[in-house]
Amino acid sequence: MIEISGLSKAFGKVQAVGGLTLTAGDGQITGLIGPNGAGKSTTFRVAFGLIRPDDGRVAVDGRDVVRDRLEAQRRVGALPDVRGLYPRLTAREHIRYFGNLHGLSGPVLERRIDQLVALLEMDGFADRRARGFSRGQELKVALGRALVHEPANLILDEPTNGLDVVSVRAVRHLLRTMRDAGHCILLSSHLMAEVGMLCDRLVIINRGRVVAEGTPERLRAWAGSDDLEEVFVRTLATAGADTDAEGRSACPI
Amino acid sequence: MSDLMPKGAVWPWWRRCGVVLRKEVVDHLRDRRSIALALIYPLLGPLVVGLLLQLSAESQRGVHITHEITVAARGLDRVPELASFLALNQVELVASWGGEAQGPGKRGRVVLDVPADATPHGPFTVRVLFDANNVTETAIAGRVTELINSYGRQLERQSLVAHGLDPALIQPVTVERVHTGHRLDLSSVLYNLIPPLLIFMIFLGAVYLALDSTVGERERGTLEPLLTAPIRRWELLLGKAGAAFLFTLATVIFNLAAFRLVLGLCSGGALGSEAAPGSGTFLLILVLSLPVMVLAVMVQLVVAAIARTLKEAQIYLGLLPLVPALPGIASAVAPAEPHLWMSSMPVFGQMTTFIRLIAGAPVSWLQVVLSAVITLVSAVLVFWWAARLYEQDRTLIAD
Repeated sequence: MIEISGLSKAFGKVQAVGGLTLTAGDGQITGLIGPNGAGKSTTFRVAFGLIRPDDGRVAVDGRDVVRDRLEAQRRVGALPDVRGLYPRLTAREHIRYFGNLHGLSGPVLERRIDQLVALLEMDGFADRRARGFSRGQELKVALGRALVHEPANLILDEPTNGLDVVSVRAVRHLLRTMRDAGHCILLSSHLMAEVGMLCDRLVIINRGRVVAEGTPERLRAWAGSDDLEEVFVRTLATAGADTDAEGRSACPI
Repeated sequence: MSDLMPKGAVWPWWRRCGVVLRKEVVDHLRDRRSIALALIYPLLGPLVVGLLLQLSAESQRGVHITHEITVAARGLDRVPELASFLALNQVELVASWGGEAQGPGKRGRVVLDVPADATPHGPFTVRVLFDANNVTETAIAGRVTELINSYGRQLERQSLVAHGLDPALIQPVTVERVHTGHRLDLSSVLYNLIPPLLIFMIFLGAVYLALDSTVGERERGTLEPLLTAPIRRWELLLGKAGAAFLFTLATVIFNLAAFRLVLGLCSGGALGSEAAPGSGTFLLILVLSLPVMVLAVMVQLVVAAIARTLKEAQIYLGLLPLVPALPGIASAVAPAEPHLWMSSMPVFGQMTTFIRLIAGAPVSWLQVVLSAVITLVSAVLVFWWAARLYEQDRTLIAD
């Protein structure tokens, strides 16, 4: 379970996140959606343990990501928006490196790497160096290293961006399987069709705050439209125009 | 809360550092730039010094002189055969240099001094007085020395054959070169260049690895995923520092081995009084330079952490090796007497020791230990600073 409460983070004069609160439960896929600059990546960076919040806290399975960073990180499979591969390492070596950093080694790790290579359809390039990989190949390697230690919680920034149709379906199937096994999955995506299909709960944020949240069905019902894209646009418009004196939006929270 | 436990054991810190170190070594062994810096650049200094030594040696032997030369001679009338031999070989002999005194510290021209007890058939020693700081005088002295040696060998053969002896047994005439300038011969200056060149390589050897594994990693976007792994920032830094240290060590070993090889081939003894430093000296220098290597790696990591971009870091780290090497270059020309305060300056303390070791001068072991301790303490402080920098958001996130 990932619990974010009252999270605030500013970069200079820019308030990236301002008092954001949300919970991503176990056995659920929670979608964090919002326009560019809404604060999704900053929220994820704090949750990954990369940067310290100015205020508020993020806890993974009860472990505070600032005070107990290593324990929290052991429980998270992280896919940041920058995939970042080492051009001189092979796909398999990338996954092995992260497996080692998570305390895995020997035959257990090698079996897990083989499993991920098959699962993410990396057979064709698993032993090739990463220089020249396509975006889809880079994403598969990044997913592989996020999943190598079979984390209970996944935080995925745009997990299917750049993948071909077959791979997208494979990743979605994988995420549903993990959800059914009890994993907590928090993801962001700009593809409304995808979040509609995958997510059990949606959290819409804007300007660093939650403006609406609920099941896709609840949000569709509130907006009076089956099209999630329409729901998203209407939510942002309502949240921007229709807030009370304390800044609370009229959207469902 | 999830009851799914994370797979993998919690390894001790040194094992996590080892994972990072191994990855960096494997990664950079595949990188031509890192290999070039570690294995090819260290050969350049020794090649330059070797070339200069060879040219100097040839110059001192007068190899390049083919025209007539003039030298002043004192007492050569005692050995007229030698005077004839020199005249036959295009050496013009004059009685004196117009009243100019010739001796240590006095600028003048080459003088041959035949001792009062010299006899035509020897043995006797001809002194060749010259200023080794004067290139022309050095070359003329070298030419005359070669000729006198040649005359000596000729005389030796004649006299031995006349007595039915093997000519290889004795040498009736020897020559002693007396340098009258302010300093010793050129070889000592060239040998003194070895420590600053070595320090330069220490600060250059792993520079690409330090850049690539820090600011380069941030620009490439690999640092952010890496920091999501359960490893403390200082552990990560220590692993990277370990890899950079290994590359620096390889650089220094190659550098010193190349110096030893080149000096052996050029035979420093041919230049005059300075004998080439031996393998033991180079081995000792390698051991004593270990603390400097540690400090160099830590400084590189801090500079790379402070820099905002790879380009900025390249500028800083490109200049960095010059800072510690410049005082050494000054010391090469005018070696300072070692004082205890010099040890308090990391790197400079070691450089002073290296210069003395190469010159074969005695070394203060108190100074050696003190400089090692101070350098290591400085390295730890710089590492602590680098680790603190790595905790800051700006060091990690390129935005």
